[in-house]
Amino acid sequence: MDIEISFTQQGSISIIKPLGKSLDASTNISFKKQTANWVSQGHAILLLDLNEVEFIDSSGLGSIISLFKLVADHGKMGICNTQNTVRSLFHLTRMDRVFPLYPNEAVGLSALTSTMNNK
Amino acid sequence: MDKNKIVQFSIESNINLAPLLGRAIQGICNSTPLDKIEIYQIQLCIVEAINNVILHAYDNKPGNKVEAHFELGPDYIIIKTIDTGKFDNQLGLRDDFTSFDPDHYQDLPESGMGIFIMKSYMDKVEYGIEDGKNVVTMRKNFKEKIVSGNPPKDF
Repeated sequence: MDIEISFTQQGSISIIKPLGKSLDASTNISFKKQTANWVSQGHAILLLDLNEVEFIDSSGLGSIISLFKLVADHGKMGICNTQNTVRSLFHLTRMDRVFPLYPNEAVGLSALTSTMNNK
Repeated sequence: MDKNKIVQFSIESNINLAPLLGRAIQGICNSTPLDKIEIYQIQLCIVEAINNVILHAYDNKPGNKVEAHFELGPDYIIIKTIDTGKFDNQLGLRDDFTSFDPDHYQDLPESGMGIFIMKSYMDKVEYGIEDGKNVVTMRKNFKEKIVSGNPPKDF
């Protein structure tokens, strides 16, 4: 099943925002395909905005990890606007140690910009 | 005393239907005093269990039946998934996905976390065969009463 995703650019940072409420076994393939295609165009600094996402299962989490792996060695990825429910899954799987979780888009953009400037 | 509330669902083995069933369970749980995170965790466990049935017991082939039974007791919830697919007990598989080095990102797991999630969020998870069908049973206990009903069952 397809999931609609918004891709926007703020300077060199890509904001990737799934617009569907659920990132799960039915939508993860579409998510992976669209985001991999975006990264293949040269985008390596990513802010994943999960404001609309109310539900993530292990397949959805796996697709986020997959996206992270695409940019980890030459770029950076952070996540913002996670709902409390979804954040509990990141905490359980300790993925909150892997991805920085920002409270909102502005903080995420600022942090990623700062990271790029420090390189 | 009110009887425990039992709801039974049946879906086709179509992965697009698993989240729908999860939403149905979420809707039922929304009528209890459970908080949003607890409801999400229950919804997640049933979706993970259904995903496993569809993807592993039925090899992601459509046209097969997946049943889910949801029992709301006074201070517990029992969820059962039932299928007639191949016996595939994954409960003994690796279930610790937290012992990774975040700096070794290539080793991060992208799949197989479902059982770990179920065992982490539920108090009891068992897999067996009942009446010739594969059954996964999960139980979650709560300190507070969530609905009026009969005393807890033996499971």
